[in-house]
Amino acid sequence: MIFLGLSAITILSAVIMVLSRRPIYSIISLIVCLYGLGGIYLLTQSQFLAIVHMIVYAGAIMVLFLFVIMLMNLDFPESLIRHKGIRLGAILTSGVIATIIISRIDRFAPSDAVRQSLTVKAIGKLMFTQYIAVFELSTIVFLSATIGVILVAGSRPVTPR
Amino acid sequence: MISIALLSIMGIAAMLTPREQWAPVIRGLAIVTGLAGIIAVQMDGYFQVFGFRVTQLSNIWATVIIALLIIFLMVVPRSQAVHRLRNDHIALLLFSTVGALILARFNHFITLFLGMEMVSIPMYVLAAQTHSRRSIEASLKYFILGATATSIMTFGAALWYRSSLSFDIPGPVVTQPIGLIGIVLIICALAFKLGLAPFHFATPDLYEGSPTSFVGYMSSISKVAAAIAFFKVGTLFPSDSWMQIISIFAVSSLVVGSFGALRQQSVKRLMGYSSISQAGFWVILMFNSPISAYFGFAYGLASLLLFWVIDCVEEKTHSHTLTGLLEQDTLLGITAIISLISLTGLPPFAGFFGKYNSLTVVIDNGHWRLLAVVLAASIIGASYYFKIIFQIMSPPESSCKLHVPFLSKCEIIKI
Repeated sequence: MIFLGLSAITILSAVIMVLSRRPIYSIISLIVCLYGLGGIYLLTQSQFLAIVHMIVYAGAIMVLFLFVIMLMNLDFPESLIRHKGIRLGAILTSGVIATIIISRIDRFAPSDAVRQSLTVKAIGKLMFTQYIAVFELSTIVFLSATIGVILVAGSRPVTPR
Repeated sequence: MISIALLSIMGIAAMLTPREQWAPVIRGLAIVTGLAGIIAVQMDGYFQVFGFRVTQLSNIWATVIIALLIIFLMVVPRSQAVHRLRNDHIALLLFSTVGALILARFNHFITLFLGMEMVSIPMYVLAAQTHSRRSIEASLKYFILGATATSIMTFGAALWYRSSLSFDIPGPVVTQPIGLIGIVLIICALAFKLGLAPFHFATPDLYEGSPTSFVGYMSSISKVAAAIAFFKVGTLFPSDSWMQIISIFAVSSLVVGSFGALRQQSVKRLMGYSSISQAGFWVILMFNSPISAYFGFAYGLASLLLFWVIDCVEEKTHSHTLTGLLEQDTLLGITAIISLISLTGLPPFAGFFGKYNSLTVVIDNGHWRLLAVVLAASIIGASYYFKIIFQIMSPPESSCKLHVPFLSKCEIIKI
């Protein structure tokens, strides 16, 4: 019952996100959609995934989008889809992905072992034992992204050409 | 693993150095670290930890990568070039090389993903470093397409995990259709990183717009890294269908690269198309991995040196035309000619053995139609490489004499 309600909210807000003409409405309905997805994750007992999903996507990234659109004043109500081809491609791609998922829908239920490993405790344990080298190396990715932001945005052109 | 740690620590140290004047010192230190890294790679035994598997082959690839990095640091980033070389640039180059080393040794999807991102993110930044419109356009295109490729790769990994229940590369061969779809998606993403033909659209713009000295890096080390990942993921296919996929990629890359390069006027753009066609030759070699590592080194070295020459010319004349280079500066001219002949694949130079081996692979497997395309592509390739060589050998338009510091001449002789 909860699952049906959540899925209805998620799908509805996703449809609104695609169809609405103003970017602000799109973003807000995308936030609703992401919260709905987070709720579905909670139902499958993957608490960590749900929390990260809500904090990172709905909390941080979408608010960043909102800020960018409001600061840059990008909120003009016109369709960004000017080509017919883009619409066709989008319909085709989502059709293919939907077919793949629906054709295998019965086999997507996680096994008990997987379900056990989705709790916060299990993930923390794995991250600092088995995955420790990967975890440490991933800091370098973030470091280089940080340097990159400073280099691209923070310095003025030396010789404008 | 020691080499990865060494290079990361050196990169962090380079990043933290406050003084811009210290860039030459940092560069020297980075070269020394690279040499230490090569020694560390040679001393690594063959072992396996989670996510990494060190074999003889991966040590060969790692040595190729670090050797290319050392050569790059010795010649290419010039402190007086159009954009100044900063400590942060060296740090980004080192981080990207660490990513390439991870890709030389991964045996799990998570390390493939990590290495791929670590190679690409510094590239997005370095592409924007002249701050001109072209440069930022190239960077943005590369960034958006690269991010899309990464998301496609992740989606493919999810489907693949569904069918095989393991993230090991090389793992059990995938035969279920859903897993095959997943692997094909991963391969498509990697083909974008390697610049293979149906996914090549950003490559010429990237080569033209980015700062010339960093294009040398993009065309050598990041290509080598992507090639390793491509070859390793390919082992998940049944070998006959993998051969078909390889032939499709090879044929389309060779055709698009060769015919695209024929029409180009700008040398940098031409090199972009030629890199597509070289990637076509490269993927044919994928069954014979030590040879493909050798091909990577020969191709990487030649394009590094060629872009070094273009960078030197650009620094003096603010254009990319190489016309009359041989009379203005004999050493630069000869270097450019040697690298171009090596790229063409003529006998005395390193590129010959790579092309020779890709021809033998095609003949041994009896793919006669592929053979025809490969031969045609080599002939067309020779025609456009020799067009540049004739330009270099022709008399100069203006009489301005190029001046290259003595130090960098010594560096090139060492190589």
